[in-house]
Amino acid sequence: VIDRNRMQAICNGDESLAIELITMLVDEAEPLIRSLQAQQPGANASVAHELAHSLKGIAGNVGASALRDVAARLETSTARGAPQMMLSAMVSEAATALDGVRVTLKAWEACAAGQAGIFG
Amino acid sequence: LAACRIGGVVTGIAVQHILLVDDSPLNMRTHELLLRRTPNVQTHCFTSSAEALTWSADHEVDCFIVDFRMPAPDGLEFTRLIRARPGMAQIPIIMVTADHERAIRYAALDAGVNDFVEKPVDPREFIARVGTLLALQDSRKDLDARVADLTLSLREQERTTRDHAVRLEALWRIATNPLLEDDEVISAVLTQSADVVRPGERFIARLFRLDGSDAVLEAACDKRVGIDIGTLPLGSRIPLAESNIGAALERGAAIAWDDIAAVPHLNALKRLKELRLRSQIHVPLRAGGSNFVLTYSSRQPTQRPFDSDDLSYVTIVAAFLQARYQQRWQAERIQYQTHFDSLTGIMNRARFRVLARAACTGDGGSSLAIVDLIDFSGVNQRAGNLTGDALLVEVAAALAAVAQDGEFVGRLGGDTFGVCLPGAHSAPALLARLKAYLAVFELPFSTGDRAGIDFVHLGARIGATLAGDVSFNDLLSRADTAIKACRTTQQSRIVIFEQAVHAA
Repeated sequence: VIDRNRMQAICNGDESLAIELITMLVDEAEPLIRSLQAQQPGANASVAHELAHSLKGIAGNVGASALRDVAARLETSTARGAPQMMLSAMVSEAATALDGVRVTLKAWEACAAGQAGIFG
Repeated sequence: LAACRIGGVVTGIAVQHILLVDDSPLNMRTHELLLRRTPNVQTHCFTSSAEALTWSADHEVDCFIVDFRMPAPDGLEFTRLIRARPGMAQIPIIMVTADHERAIRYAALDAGVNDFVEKPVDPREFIARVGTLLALQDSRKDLDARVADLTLSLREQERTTRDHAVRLEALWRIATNPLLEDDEVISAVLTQSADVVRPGERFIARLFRLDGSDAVLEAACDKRVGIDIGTLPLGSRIPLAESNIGAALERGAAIAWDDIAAVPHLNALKRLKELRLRSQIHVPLRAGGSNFVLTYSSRQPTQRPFDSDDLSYVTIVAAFLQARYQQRWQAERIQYQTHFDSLTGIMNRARFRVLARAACTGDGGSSLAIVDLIDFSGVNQRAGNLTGDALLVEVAAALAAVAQDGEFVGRLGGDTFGVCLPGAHSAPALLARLKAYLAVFELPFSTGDRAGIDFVHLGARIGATLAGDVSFNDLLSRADTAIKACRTTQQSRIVIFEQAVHAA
């Protein structure tokens, strides 16, 4: 779900920073996905496109690969004018990916509290 | 997240400031964490580009890292606004963008972006690119500082060069002023140079000539208002042991003291202590076989140390004085050679005639006599010309030593001397004086031990005439007639015109 090598490179091995960044990712991604879910069929596709682009950016930045990939596909599809059904499916997929990130975050927090290391 | 947060490791002296602006706190936090590894960097983070613009207006920034997509002003506009500020044309701006489109990159370059990093940023590449631009900015700042320094020192140099040129011109004006007498020129040069050697500082200038173990005051600048270093009349003698006048001569070049009080051995010198002198420049010069020292003295330490311009200026003043004294000395020598006999050192025929004419035609007139050596050509032949010359020097000196009360002796040529006797108005008085001159020949003359002959006896005859109401030329022919009579008769050593007197 998260590219650990990338995370380690950014945080220089500091687990608390990794947890901070993933928490920030969840905090920033949630409103984006909510906005995407709230998009009405036939609404201006460019808004969805911008939202997808931002989501791709933040997810890619911390190495949240699954979330980034679905956001990238969503970005391309909105640009191409893909059918609404397909877009909705992708938004759902993104929400699921974000859930995965949350699970990982929980796991990391547990690791950090216990003996095992995130980057171990 | 606060609008501005200061993070990063701050060590060392030259901290570089990086301004980060990204509407995503996550992205900014990520970039900030990466920049933590760059030493001596302080990061300033903004999620609002408008706030970043406001803050950067009055804070020093060495590098901007700007997101491309942001609520207005976006990265392009932000870059344009920064570039539009004075002095910000060269500050590195890095744009973070997820877009690969060439059109966007060109627009960014046109706006003034220096470099791009792609999202998601590659940590190593990001650090390396920022590092490069920071190093560039650092060396540019360093260069700017150097240029500023150099500009400042060039301005200073230009100012001192201009001052130097102005004072040299003033010197030249004095030197070429046809209205000034020789002594006035020297005094004017000393006055002028004392005024400008250190503008705003009070210096007096003096020229000393060295004579034995003393320095003799030869010339001085005008009395300085407000500088009382004691009045020293021209010709005053200062023992070298009591002053530092000898130092420049020993050194053979200009020497300066910014604060004499800081030089214990100088401070102990009697004269410097008495006069409470604090700063001086001395320049040695040689002219006409004499040594001189040009001195500038003040009772205050210098406001800034004497520099090479000052030394070069006083050296030029010294060179000018040297030329003047050398000319004066040469003129005196030429005059001497025109008026005095080069062999015997007494006055020559021309000079004798001028002075004798003045004496003979003046009030009371003067008696004239011609002294002729007997058989001097024989002495020359027997003893050689060098011995003959040595004898002539001795004879001339001996005759000149007899002269008294306005009398003078000249060499008229060869072995013939003239004597002008303004005090002898009667025949007995004249005869008495002529006997005194003839008495010179009673003792032998030293040859200076040439050709093994130590002493030579010489004889002389004298033809003379009393002062009379006739022209100078007539007087001369009367004396000539008398000496001819003396040669012819060979009976007396002294013949006075119209009246032959036999002397023993």
